[in-house]
Amino acid sequence: MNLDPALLDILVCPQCRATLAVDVDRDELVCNMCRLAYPVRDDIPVMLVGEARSLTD
Amino acid sequence: MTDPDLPREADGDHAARLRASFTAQAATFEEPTLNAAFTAGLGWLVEAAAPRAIDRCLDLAAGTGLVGRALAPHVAHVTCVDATPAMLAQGRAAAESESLTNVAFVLGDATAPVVPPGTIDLVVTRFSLHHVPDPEGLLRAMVAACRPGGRIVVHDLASSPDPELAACQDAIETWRDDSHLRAPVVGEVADLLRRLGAQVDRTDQRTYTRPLEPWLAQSVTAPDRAEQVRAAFADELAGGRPTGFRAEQREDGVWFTQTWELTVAHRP
Repeated sequence: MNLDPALLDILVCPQCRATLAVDVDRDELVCNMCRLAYPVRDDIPVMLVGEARSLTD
Repeated sequence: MTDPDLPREADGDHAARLRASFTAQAATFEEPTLNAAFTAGLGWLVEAAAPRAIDRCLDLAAGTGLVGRALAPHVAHVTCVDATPAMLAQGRAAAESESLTNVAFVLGDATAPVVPPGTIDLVVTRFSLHHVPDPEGLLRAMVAACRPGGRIVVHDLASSPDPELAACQDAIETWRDDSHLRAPVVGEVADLLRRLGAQVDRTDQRTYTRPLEPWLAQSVTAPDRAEQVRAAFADELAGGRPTGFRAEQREDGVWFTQTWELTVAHRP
């Protein structure tokens, strides 16, 4: 995963606006408030709640 | 002409149609022989946006990030958000070939901002409002993302204040590209921005006269729908119902005129 640091500084969860943690191993951006993991595909974050992986299952 | 009040589907269906349309258009979107219009007004927008070297920018419903990439040499950073992966892939490849290192691409919904509220210096959107079911929601997202004192720049088609002509314009646009929903009427964007708490600094209109066939080719319009568009212009040229696009017959084919509007506002 190769993400622009300036982007990581500003990206927030589109659902709750919380800041995101980077999961390098899974290529995901994690919202610990919503317990959602947003995928990063081809180095482009997919910030769609409907495509996020639930971490509570 | 067929009834311009085309049926509208649910938002989910429209989102799928939008993505399908722009996936089909991704390869031709910046093709200069087909879509010269897209680059034609870029300087107008960049000048109006008054970009500064310290600005953090957000380009919503960015497509290939054409606007974001035009702003990038003048600002600190641009984030381009769009819902169609193929457009973002084209945009990122273009940014790399242009050696731009301060542009990032995000797949997302333009009405659900991916940045903290009140943090962006310059928020832009271009040719997007006519595609979205909730244009006010998109403008609300722009105002919300903007920091106090930050600028909001909206560039879009503007339809006629005459409701009958506006309906014809929207019908033709929708035949050409079925992800088109409704173009804002001249001055409507400024009114909406004021209602959302922004202070409007400037609205400008320009007309853009362009040839019909490259317009249809760029959008990869289905043959039967392209024929509907040609028939509407032919009817107008024969003295029939006005399309709102002032069709004219030239030596090299039919040309028509769109009105574009640029609205510049700031968040108090």
